[in-house]
Amino acid sequence: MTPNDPATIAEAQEVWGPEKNAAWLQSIQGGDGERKQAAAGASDFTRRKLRESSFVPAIQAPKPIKHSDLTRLQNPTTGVNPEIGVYVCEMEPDSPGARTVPFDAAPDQNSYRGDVYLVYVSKDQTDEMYKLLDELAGYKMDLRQVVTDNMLKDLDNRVDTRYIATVKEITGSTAGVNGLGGYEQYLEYTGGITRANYKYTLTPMYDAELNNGVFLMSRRTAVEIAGWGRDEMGGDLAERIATDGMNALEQFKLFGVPHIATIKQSLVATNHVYHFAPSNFLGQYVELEAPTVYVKKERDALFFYAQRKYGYSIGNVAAVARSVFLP
Amino acid sequence: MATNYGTLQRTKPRLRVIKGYVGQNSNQRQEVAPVASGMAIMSGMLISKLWSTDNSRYEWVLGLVSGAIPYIALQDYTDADVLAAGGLTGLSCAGQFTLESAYFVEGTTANWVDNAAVSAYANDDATAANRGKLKLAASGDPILGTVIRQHADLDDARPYSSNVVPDADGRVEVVRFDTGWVKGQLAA
Repeated sequence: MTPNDPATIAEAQEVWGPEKNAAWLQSIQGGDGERKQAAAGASDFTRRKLRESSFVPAIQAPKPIKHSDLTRLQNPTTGVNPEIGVYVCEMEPDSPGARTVPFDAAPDQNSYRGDVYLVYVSKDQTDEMYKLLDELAGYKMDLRQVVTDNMLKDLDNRVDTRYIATVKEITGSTAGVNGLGGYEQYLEYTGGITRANYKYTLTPMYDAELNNGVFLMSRRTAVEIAGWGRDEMGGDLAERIATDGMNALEQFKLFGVPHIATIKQSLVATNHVYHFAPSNFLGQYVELEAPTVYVKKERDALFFYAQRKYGYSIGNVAAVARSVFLP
Repeated sequence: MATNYGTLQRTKPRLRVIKGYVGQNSNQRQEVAPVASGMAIMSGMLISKLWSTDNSRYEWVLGLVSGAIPYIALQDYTDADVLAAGGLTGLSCAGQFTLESAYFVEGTTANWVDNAAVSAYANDDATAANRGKLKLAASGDPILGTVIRQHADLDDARPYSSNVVPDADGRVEVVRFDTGWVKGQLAA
């Protein structure tokens, strides 16, 4: 902060908008395929750790919506009339199949309707940070900017946390028990992450008659793949990985499936791999308000916090699975 | 209530008309009437018209009414067009339909075989949960129709019921029957 700043800043500033999201996505899907750098900018202070943007957009791209896209669902029997609407989504239904009959047989009749799922929208927000300008002035680094950047990463962490929790709820956590999709969506393998084991990560989506869209693991888990020998990795690639790490891969892609290696080990546990079908088989992720920082200066104090309004739903509960590799 | 995954689900599927549905063709045996107060009528339930002295009109009630024609509800009482119209459509069991309904009391599973007589519970059955449900006809029960395409078991509508919560066995159990109600015809 400098003495020339406006006396009162009341307008919301959009710091993390569509352009930044697109740039982040590019760093995941193109080039090295692994998140190169999470922290913003270079400056004359020591950073504590890496902070990474949300990985959910790489699984399901957020769709900007407006209030007019929301539907207020009145309960016809109770008459409850909510003021906050939901985003109504549609999914194809199952079909009854066909049968073989003689030429003069008449068909059976059936009606049809599309399946519907709802995306409920809510708000994530950070703490409101306050600081005396006199105290900020004593720092060489732009502490306010650093804290603001971290706030936005906290918002990203929040959606990742919720999303992973939802996936776990769908898959369950007991091997041998079907998940909500009606097939085994939580699988355990012993013997670590070997090629012989890892190839089976392709199968849950096949069991659901889906394709594999993207896999999610932690960087720590990806280290296990870096340890694959020549016979597992297949030729000289093993040597290049030994020298260049996972950057030796043009894309972080295994068995034809794009992979995301996140630094967020607290969310995506070591040796856990999450499987997702392509996004058009998965669900919807809508954003009513992009991450926005609200800043206010009152006399000698600066107040700011960040929020975003969004919702998501994994409408197709068969489109997610996870594998755990035990020693 | 899960809000972040899954589609909207019904506990039971809507009525399926396997044979005999002709849209709004006027030769389809059906009636439209208001739903009596307090009646939670879902598509597939057995309903009858009962005279309301308060409202001076016939209204749908769940279950068989003595002397009245039995119908099967085509819609849910909460459907927007039912609420707007103030009336719900029932398909007559005297009409020529093959129907599939999820509202039944199973009784002895092995007795659900082709040609078994189908009946329903009375509108004043001692067990309120039975009203509106089909059952295998016992001696003296009005015959609504006959079971079809079943052999010692209920049928499974799961393949085309993605919006219905399956039971613990992963099935969406239904009964199928040809309608054939005739006034005064009772099970032996």
